[in-house]
Amino acid sequence: MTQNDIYLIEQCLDGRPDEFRHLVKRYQPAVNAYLTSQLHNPSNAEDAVQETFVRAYFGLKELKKRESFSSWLLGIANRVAKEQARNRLPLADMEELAAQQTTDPNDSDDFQLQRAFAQLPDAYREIILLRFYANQSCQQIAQNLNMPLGSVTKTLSRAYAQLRQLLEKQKAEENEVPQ
Amino acid sequence: MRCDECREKLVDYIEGLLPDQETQQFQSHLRQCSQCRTELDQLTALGQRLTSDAKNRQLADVENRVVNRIICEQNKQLKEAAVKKRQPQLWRIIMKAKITKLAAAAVILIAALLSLTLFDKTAAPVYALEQTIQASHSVRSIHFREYHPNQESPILMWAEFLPDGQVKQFRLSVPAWDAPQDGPKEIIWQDNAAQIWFKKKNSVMIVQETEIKEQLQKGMEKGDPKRLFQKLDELSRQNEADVQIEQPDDFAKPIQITATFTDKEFEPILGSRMVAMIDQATKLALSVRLFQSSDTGYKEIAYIEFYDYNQPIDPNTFIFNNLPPDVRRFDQVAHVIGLEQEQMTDDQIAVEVVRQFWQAMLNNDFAKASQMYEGAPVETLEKAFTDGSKRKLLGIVSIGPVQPHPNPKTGGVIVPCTITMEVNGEIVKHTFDKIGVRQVYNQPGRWTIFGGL
Repeated sequence: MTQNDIYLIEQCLDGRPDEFRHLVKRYQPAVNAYLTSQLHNPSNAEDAVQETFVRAYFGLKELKKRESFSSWLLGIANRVAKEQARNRLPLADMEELAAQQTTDPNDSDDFQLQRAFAQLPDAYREIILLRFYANQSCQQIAQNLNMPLGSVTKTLSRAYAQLRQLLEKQKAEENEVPQ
Repeated sequence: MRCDECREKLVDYIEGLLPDQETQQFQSHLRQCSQCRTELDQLTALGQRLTSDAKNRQLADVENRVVNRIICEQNKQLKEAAVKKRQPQLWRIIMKAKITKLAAAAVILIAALLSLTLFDKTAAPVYALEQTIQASHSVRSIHFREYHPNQESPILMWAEFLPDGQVKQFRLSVPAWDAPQDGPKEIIWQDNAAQIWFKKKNSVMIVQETEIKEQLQKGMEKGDPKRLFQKLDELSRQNEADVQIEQPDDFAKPIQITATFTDKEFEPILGSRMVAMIDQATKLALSVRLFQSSDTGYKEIAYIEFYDYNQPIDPNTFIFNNLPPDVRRFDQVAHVIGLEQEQMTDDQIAVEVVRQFWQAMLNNDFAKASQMYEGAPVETLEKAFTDGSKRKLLGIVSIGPVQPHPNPKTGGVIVPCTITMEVNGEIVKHTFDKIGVRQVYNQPGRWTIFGGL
């Protein structure tokens, strides 16, 4: 969270929705990564990303601590993901699976990382999202989550360790698949 | 430093959070311990992998789609609010019920006890100019019609705005009464250049002149509600406009703003009085009437109606797709126009432009002739003295002296000249006494012929 974010939030509260685009640009990779991990299907995730930001805009009045915009935003994304998952038809899973099998994996997509990321506990995932996908420094995260700096680095360290374990486990499983 | 200590501090080290002394101890341990070095490399690599994945998560254009959805949603909410406010009957019925009266009495009592300003909060908010300015921030497209007294056909305009409020593109349809010598005009402003179609002259000019741009932008001050109301607010704050606001209790009726300007400077654009109607629900302008003060009171000079806020505009509006096939194009954007003045005086350069024009024509260098004649179509120049026309250019007899232009508004001069040509086998002299030469607007050092041939 930077001063600039607080300024942009104030502009939005002043009735200038155009200023919101800067916040969307800055935080959409984090929201997108989170929603993809929850919804699995990238096209559903994109709709959910839009929905998250639209709700956030209209809910800005309720945001008490403006420094915590990013974690508040991820909270909204979490609710949107749950709603979407609830509203999904049972058949959708099958369609999704079929879609995944028929689409060529994009070279630029790191599926292993995304799968491992989806399995992280919430606290670890949040810290990774803020550090890498919202590009915040550890000090900013500490302020944002109201945590001592030491706890941020410790959590980040544990998140790394677990992510690595998950990636290694995946690799081992892939190697077990008979050729 | 031991290995377990080193592992604990890996993240702090990567994040640059270790104090200097510990950094040195950490680095000295790394030099000796290959296992910890591998650990550091793996962690750094994972960080890079995450950063690169984050880059791939950038969705194209999502910010525009989000902002558009917000604007649509806001407009919908405003409309719903307006409908609700137009139904006071229901509220009256509720208020008539006995139980409500008791409850209301209780509320009033509590409010009085707590000294709450209950009524300030429940009364309809008082309108302020700022609300229209704010509402206009979300306007991306608009259509307006500008009527002038005693003129049946209005000036029509369609405009699209960029998110920062600047004009993206607009189409202006100007009837002949606005400038009888030009005749009816169609103007498209796009990519920082204007295409002007002079229907009477059957020509299209593509220009990037700053003067035309400034003129168009002045026109936009009354066509773009945001600019108009910003200007009004500014004038009101500087006490250069007396602004009266009438807000009817009936929410279905518009708010009326009457502004009288005390400074004459704005007369050319805004007149001396302006009456604007504002929609109570959306706070957007519905219409603006401009008046000029005269001995007999205020005389109406223009009436502008605003339509279709944020309605998508047909992309064909910003293309001339029914131009006559034989229309002449003067493209001053794609081609360099005119001749550099360098050390010459204004009269010298004016003569030189005409001389180079005729010389180029004699040399059959029509591209150069076109350059001297504000980008006139090469084909037209080529045809002027070829076989088909039974005329052949032979030579230049005289050029000058320079005379003032009869229409000072053009900012040019007249350069008379005489040439000899062969017409039907006969050698004749011909004098052109209307050739106008002036500076290319956005290039003050360059001069061009602009008419009279």
